[in-house]
Order: sequence, then structure tokens, then C-alpha cells
Amino acid sequence: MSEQGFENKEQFADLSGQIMTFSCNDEVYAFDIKDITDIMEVPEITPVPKLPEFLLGVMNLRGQVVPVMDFNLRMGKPRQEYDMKTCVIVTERDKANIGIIVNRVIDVELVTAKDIIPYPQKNSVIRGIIERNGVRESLIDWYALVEIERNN
Amino acid sequence: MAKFDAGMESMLDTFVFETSSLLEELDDILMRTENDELLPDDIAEIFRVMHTIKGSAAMMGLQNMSKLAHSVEDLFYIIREDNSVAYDKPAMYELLFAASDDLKNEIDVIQDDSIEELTDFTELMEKIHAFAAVMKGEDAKAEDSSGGFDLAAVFPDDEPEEVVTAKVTFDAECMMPCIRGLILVKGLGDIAEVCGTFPPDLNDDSSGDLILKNGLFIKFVTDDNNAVIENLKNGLNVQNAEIVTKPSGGGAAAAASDIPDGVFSDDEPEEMSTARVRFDEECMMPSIRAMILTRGLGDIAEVCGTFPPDLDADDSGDKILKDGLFIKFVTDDSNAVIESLKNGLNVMSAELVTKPDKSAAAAPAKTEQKPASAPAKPAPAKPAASKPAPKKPAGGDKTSSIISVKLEKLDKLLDLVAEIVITESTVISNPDLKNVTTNLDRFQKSSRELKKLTDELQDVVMSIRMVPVSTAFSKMTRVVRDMNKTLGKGVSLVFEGEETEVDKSIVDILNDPLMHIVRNAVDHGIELPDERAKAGKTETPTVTLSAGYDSGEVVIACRDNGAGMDREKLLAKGRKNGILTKPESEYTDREAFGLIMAAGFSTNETVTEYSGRGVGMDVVRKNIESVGGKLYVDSKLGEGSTFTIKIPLSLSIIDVMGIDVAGYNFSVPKNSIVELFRATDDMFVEDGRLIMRRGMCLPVYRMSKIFEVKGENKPLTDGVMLLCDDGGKKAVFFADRLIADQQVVVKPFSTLLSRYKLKEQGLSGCSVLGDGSITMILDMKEILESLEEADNNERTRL
Repeated sequence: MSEQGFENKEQFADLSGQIMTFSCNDEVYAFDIKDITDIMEVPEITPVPKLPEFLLGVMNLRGQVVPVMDFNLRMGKPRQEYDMKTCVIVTERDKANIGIIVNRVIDVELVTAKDIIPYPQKNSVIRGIIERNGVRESLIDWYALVEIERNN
Repeated sequence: MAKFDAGMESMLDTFVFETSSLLEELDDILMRTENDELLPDDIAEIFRVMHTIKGSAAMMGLQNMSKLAHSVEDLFYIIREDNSVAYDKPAMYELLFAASDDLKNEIDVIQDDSIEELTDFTELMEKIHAFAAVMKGEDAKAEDSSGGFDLAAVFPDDEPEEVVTAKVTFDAECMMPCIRGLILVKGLGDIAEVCGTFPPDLNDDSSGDLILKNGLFIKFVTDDNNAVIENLKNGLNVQNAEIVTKPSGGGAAAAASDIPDGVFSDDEPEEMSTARVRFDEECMMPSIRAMILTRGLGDIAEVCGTFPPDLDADDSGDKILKDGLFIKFVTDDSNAVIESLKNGLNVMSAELVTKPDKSAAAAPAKTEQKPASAPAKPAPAKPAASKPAPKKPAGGDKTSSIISVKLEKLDKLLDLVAEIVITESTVISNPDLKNVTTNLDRFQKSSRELKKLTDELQDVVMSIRMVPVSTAFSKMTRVVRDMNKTLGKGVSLVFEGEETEVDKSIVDILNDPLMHIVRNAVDHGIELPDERAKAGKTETPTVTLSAGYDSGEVVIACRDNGAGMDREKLLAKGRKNGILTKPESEYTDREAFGLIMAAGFSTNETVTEYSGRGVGMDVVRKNIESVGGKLYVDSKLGEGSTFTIKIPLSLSIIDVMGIDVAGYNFSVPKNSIVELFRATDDMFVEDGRLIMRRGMCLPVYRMSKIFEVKGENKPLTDGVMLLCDDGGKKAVFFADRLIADQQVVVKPFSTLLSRYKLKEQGLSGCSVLGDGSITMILDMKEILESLEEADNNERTRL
């Protein structure tokens, strides 16, 4: 256990210690909270041609043009109707913004590296799994999600 | 720890800017003269550049830069003074280039907060000193040991007789001689009254060297000279201590006539007045102060000359400190001049002086000291004194009409103007106006006026930011030169259209990509001389950099007449690296050559100093794409390759037509639209695949098909036709509806979307409109080109 914990520390050293959980298709996922800049209602989205289906288009975020992704479609799940609880989580890394549409935002939780079980598959959208109180949360790898290479 | 003087931070930007431009100037001169004759003008120029860098670096407290510049300055001092001196030119240029590079690097270092230490240039400086020593030959050494030091300087003219001067010399190994000096002086407190020392300021860093070299002079008044000397001799590290007396010579001459020779010439007109300005002893760079003073007089007096005549000369500073600065001028109001002079920085006193009586000037002291030189001396001063100096004020005016502004401020201004233009169009075409029943004639008239003004404002702001692309090109001369040195390919670099003006931000962006591309061209593109001979190529290996405009874009191309690239080899390598995305036969030439821009792709088997690691081109491409540009590669095996960079002319506002295509909001740049019209059935040929218009038969495309957006297939007569022409290709496009005629600020798509190659598919960017909605801007040239290619492949025709 201690050995694994040490390993985790290296692997999840970049985490801020807080995660924000959200649900999509009855599963719970989580973002590192420091990647999140805004949570907002679904705005008007301008479709952009020639993009994969899960990229819905772009939105106007205070004068900035930000791409928007549907999380369900990104995970290969069926599209779900947007309702009152549907919202856009705006994330930012390396000065690049992207809005991610999720069914509902749940909570902000504390997490330490040793709580996280690393995900076995490389290049997966999911970095690791946190299991507690009978709930399983999947921690998202932002770079894998937006399909760009890590800068470091 | 700060690398430079605290309190100088505000000056950092200016220092960086000025020093960088000076170093560029230096490089230009060096490049030009390397294989040419080094003219006296160039020598003076290099000397001036190094002198200025030395001064400003010293001001910033950057001792290392200052000293390095000083050593180069010394070198050129020798050349300037003795034009016939023999030296090894290539070796010297190596040193000069190395110095220039080091200084440039150091500028980066001082700006980089993560680097705490200043670079140590001692090694290079020693090389330069050694080189200078060889140039100076034997006599140089003698001068080094003592000749450079004038004992007379130790003795001021007005020194009272009872003051005794002791000279203390220290061991060569003595650490911190300044401190030792201070301790010695303090130790004398009981037995003598110390009036001063030479060097005067023992806290100054440079004093240490002076003391080691020339010894420390202590001036004191005492009853018992011997006791003092004994005391001094007992000091730590002291080698010797002795009493010295004022040398009889120049000192006496100076004492006899307070005003040095040459200040007044015989044929001086009567209306000319002379002012003497004395500076504080601590005044740094008195010659600069002097120049500022003389320039400042421009308004109230006509300055005819100064003494010392050449304020740029190195020794003028000392002369000014010693005798004061003499300014000759013609004015109506001498008092105003004196007042103005007195207000100058570091100025201790300013007064009018008159020509001394001729017989008095030829003082007895002078006649007995140096009778021969008395008549000769005023001669060199004559031209300076009588020379009316309109040249200097003129130069002053020229510099004052140019100011340097921080780019950020211009960016801010441009952003604001862009916003104003957008807001203006939202106001003028506000939908609310449609509901107004009153006559809007006056409103329309004023809004046209406003539009005219904002257009002009926009043009002016854009033109402020325009700089010739040659600023980016000229840096490449240096790159090619260095590579020629190491690779021995003898490549010549040719510029075409380097006067093309582009936005400053584009030039900045271009620097790195150009450097990579040019390096690649010289290293990979151009063959080695014997390979060229084998291939029967007789022309000089040439890399051509060209610049020009093409429909709203800046086109920068780098062309070489080297080996070119082998399509098959590239594809094979691509296969090996597993980066091919489709069958090899489907790759167009351009796509195949484009492979070299993929990450981790290098066909060069051996890694050289300049290229071959395969990390270059993909970074280059990314850099260019990040500002909405494109990079193309064309090549012909055996004939050479061309790398073409296309970047939008300005990164800001363009005129567009908004169109609606099945609910998508697109904008077509107006400069690619020839006309808009509604089609009638009789115009069509071949079931609506072609259309007759303006005596041409043109293909018709549905925008919705091009972008594969779903929508009902409206009849072609039921929408709007856009006749577009870009890059010489014409076609007619069908859109559902025209939305607006507007101006937009182009924003490139998020980098997160770059993998979907929207740009290659004709979407150059997007823009936020006045109502907050987003429109996508089309690149008609790209669309026309890809349609033509598709037509050639007999596909997707309507």
C-alpha cells in the first residue's frame, strides 16, 4: 500500500487537492478544480462545420471564442436532452479554454494522491478512479479529453 | 538578487531596446565590411556603438557588459588612431562576432528572471586584450605599465604648497586595495591631516585596479613627514611608500594659464561669446552631459563649437572635468544662456569667459616649458572653433521627431480602434433604427462622416505598426554567414522585396520560423560544393528570401537552388515513422513535402549543429499557424525547395459579407468577392453545374456542400450568388441569404481545434459580432484551391 501511495504521489503531483465532481449518464466524473474557470448555463452555441460530432461548435465567453464539447458524446455515450441542470464547465490549461457540457455539477471534494487508484490504460480520458462511500468517481485527464499533447 | 542596479529597472526596457538596436547596427557593419575594406567611417561607427554600450551598461550597473564593450572599444581605438596598423582581420572579426553574440545573449539573460548570475566574459575579454596587445606591439606593453597614467593628474593646479603627497604601492596579490587604502588613510588620523587621495573615491570599484596599477596617492598636511611614511610602510600588503612631488611640466603650464590652449582662436568673430561650464567631480560621463547641454541651448543661442572640440572622443571627458567645458555661441541674451547652462545636471558653475590678452596668454610658463608647441597648438582647434555647427542641432531635431513607444501600448490602441469600428457599425446599423418613423437623413449623414473618420483612424493606427520586413531578413545574413564559416558551402543570401511593410507583430513572429527555414535551406537544401559539381550545377548556391503581398496576405518565401526533396524518400520515411494517414498513392506532392513538418520527422541521417533533429519544422509550423498563417513546402528534386509562409496582412480588422448557409453564419472577406447577384434559370448551363456571368462560364458550388452542412436543397434561383475571385481562380458560390455587410476583428480558432485543420478547409478564423453572436470567416482562396484540386480528381462536383 505504501509503495503504491508513493508511486501515486509522483503521478498525481500536479493535482491541487480539490476536485469538482459532475455526473453524466449516471456516472460520476471529476475535474481538478484548478482547471476550471467558469460554470455557466448552456449559452447559444455557433456550430462549426467539419468538426467531430462531440464538438458542438464555439461560444462567446466574454468576447472570447471558446470551443464547446458535449461530454456524453465525447465519451461515446448517446446524446441527452439539455435541461435546467445541464451546464457548461469552462476549463483552461496552457491558456487554452474549452467549454464542456455536462448533465449536472455535483460538488467540490477534497482529495489526496493516495485516494486515487491509477487507471491502467494509457492515453485514456480517465486518469484514475476514486472510490469512497460507495461512489466511484473517474478523474478526467484534461489533455486526453481535448486530444492535445501534453506540453511538459 | 538583482542583476543590475536597483532603481534602474525602469530604464531596463530602454536599455534593452537601445542596446539591441546598436548591436544590430554593429552586426550590419561587420557583415558589410567583413569581405570588404574597413573604412574609417565604419571604424568610427563601431567605436561609437561600443562606446555607447559601455556607457549605458555601466549606467545600468552591468559591469560585465560594460567591460566587454570597453575591451572592444579599446581595440577600435587603436585602429582608429593608427589606420595603418596591421592586424589579422578574420581573427578579429571572429572576436567581434563573438562579442556581439555574447552581448546579445546577455541582454536575454538580464531580462530572464530565472537566471540570477551575469555571464562572465573574462575569457573573451582576455582574448580581445591579447589581440589588442599584438596589434599594439612592443610599445604597447610599456604604455600599459605606466604610460597610460598621467602623474600630473594627481596634482591639481591650485594645490597649496604645504600639502605633501605620498605614493603607496601595494603587492600585486593585495586583495581589495581600496579597503587597504581606506585603512591606511584612517590610520594616519593621529599624525597627519589627510586632505585627499588619488584615486579620489576609494569606495569606487574601479579604484582598486587603479591603485594596484599606479599606486595610491595620499595628500596630507603634517609636521613629520617621516613618521607618516613609516606608518604607511607598516601597512598590510604595502610594498613601498614614498613622498612624491609635483612633476614640473604640463602641470606648470596649466597653472600659468587657467584656460587651456586652443579654446580661443585668433580669428574668432567678436560677437561670439564663450561660456565655461564646470562639472561636479562625481559627474559620470561628462562628455554626454556636455552634449546634452549644448543641444539644450538650441533654442536660445547658436552654438558654434565647443572645447574640447570632439565631445565623442574618449579623452574629452577627462579634459572637461579638469578644465571645464567651453561652449562658443552667438546669442542675443547671454544671461539666459548662462542660466540655462547652470540648470544642467551635475553642473557646478557656468560663467562667461573672455579671450585673455594675447600677451598674457603666451604666459612665461608656457614659453619656457614648450616653446615649440605654443604656436602649433591652437591650430587644430581652429576648425572646430570657427566651424559653425549647424550639423549638430540638425541631428538633434531628427532624433527628437522620432519616439519609441512600447508595442503593448500600440496593441492596446489597435484593440480599442477595432472595438470602436465594431461598435460604430452596431450603432449605425442598429435594428432599433428601423422602427423610427422620423426622417433619418441627418443621422445617416453624420454616421457616414463618423465612418470616414474611423476608417482613417484605423488606417493610421495600422500604419504606425508597419515595419519593413527587412528587419527580420537582415538577421538572416548573420545566420548564413556563420553557417558558411562552419559548413563551407559559400551560400549567398539574396533578398527580394525586403521593403515590404508588415505589422510589427508579424515581424516578431517571423524571426524564429525564418531562422529555422533558412538554416534548413543552407544545411539540408544546398549541397556541398563537390556534390554540386557532380550534379553539374554551376550557379552560385543561393538562398533567396522574398516578401510581397497577395490578396490581403503577406507572403514570405525562402527559396534555395539546392538538392530539393525526394518525394519517395519522404513517403518511405513517413511510413517508417508511422505518420502516414492514407495510402501513399493518395498523397499530393504538397502533402508529401508537408510531411517534413510533422513532429519527429527528419530525413537527415546525421545530426549537425544546425539541424537534423527533426524538432524544427513542426514547431515552425505551429508558430505560424498560431497567428493564423500557413506554411507550404514545394520542391523539385535536383532543383531546390521553396518554403512559403502566408500570414494575414494585419491581424485585425477586415471587411466582410455575412452570409447564411443552412443556419451557419459565415463571413466572406470582401476583397475576394467580385459581385453578388441573384441567378435566373437562363444563366445555368449543364443542369446548374455551370453559370454564365460577365461573359465567363464559371462553376457553381453550394456553400452547404463544401462544408458538408445539412440543409434543404433550395433551388439555386432562390438564394444569393457570390462571384468570388482569389489568387486568380474564379467560381460562383451559392448561399441561402445575405445577412450583413460588416467589419470584423479576426480571431484565430482555439488551438484546441487546430488538429481539425479548419484552416486548410477554408475557415480562417472567427469573430464576435456586435450582438454577441459568432461568425466564421471563410478563406476563399483556400476554398477555391481545394475545389480546383477536387475537380481535377473528378470529385464532389455539384
